[in-house]
Amino acid sequence: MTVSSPYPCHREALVREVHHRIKNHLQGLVGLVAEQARQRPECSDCLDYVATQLRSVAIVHGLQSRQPNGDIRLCDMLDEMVIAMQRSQPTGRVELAFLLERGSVRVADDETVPIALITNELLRNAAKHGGAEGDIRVTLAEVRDGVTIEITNTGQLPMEFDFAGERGLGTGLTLIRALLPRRGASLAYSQSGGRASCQLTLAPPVVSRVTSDAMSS
Amino acid sequence: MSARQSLDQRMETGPCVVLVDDDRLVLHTLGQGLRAAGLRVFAADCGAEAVRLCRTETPDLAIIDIRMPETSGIEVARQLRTDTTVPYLFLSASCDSDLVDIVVQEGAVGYLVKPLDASQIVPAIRVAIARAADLATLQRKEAGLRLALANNQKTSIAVGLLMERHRLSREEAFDALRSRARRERRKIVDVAAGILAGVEELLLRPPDAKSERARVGPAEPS
Repeated sequence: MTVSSPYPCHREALVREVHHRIKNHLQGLVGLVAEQARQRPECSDCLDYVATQLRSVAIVHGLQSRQPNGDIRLCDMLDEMVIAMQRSQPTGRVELAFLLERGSVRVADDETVPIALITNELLRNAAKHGGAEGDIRVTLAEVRDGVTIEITNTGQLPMEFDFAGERGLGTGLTLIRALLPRRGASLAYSQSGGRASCQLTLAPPVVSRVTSDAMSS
Repeated sequence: MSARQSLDQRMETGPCVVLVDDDRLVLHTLGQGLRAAGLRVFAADCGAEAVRLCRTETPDLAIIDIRMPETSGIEVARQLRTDTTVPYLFLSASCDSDLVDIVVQEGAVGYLVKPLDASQIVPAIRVAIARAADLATLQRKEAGLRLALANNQKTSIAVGLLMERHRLSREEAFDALRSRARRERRKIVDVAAGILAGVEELLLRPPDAKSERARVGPAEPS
């Protein structure tokens, strides 16, 4: 977002305020959609799905309203996405672990909404297939060129499922495929014992390391 | 027949478009909406990819977002105009009149202002494709007429030269030209072009060569 002002501090405050208001409006829309879902139980599945997507974009604007320069840190985004998922869907135990210094990874401005929507889909899938009794583990770890978000859940991947070969993709995975950045991002699925796992790997230019000075500021 | 098969069949027969927008969410949702409406859609998230797809897939229309990093929509349109015959319409979040002026100058067949609902823009896309086809037909006809006019000019000048050199009437000069064309199994315009080339060559020769040729005299027009 570009806002012109001769006073940088005013510009900064204005940008944050705009993000804050967009977040509020989107949350208002989430409320309206949720109301419709309650009134029309036959449509509640798809309306709830739309609400999670709106909520994901609201999370992005909420984070941009809080950080200097609208920076979004991947840890903060994951934190909020996991909380939102737990509120919107019945899930068993959910563990979130950061195996890196919190706040050390920044998401590129242009990629914040796509990454939030992709993460929303992955978490929804984990909750849906893991079931209300299963458990979900979300781990953010460093890899050689960037970071990996691994989401595992109890359950089995369908036999015909092949993300790389574009076989067995539903609406959500088709959206992921369309939103996945062409450079600096990849998604892989695997099965280990009774757990299904997906690994979303992000590297520059999608994410970047934040210096210690910037983290403390 | 499943819904998926039915959609695929329509996609095989519907108009083909290349859609380019750097916002992948818009690209996906708009692309899916157009596919559901029966269009065959090739999606590109940057200008360079859009130009490549237009060259390889020769769509009926390119739908181009104006504001894109690296290669802008306007630059994509210029490349399409230079390298292909693919018509294009623009997408933009702005309806600023200066921008519309630029779009008009760039030869677009349409301009759509975001946000867009796929089902609502399908009629505009179909109309743009039809008008672009009309325009292409008119351009082909114009090229044919220009050629005919140029050929007529050559024949008329050659007839004039024969009339002047051999003191013939217009009809006699034209008959002579036609007879020679028949005899040599060539088109009248080709014989006329040969005569004009010969005169041009004569005019470009040094004076001595010209006088030598003058003594020999002009070739029989027959």
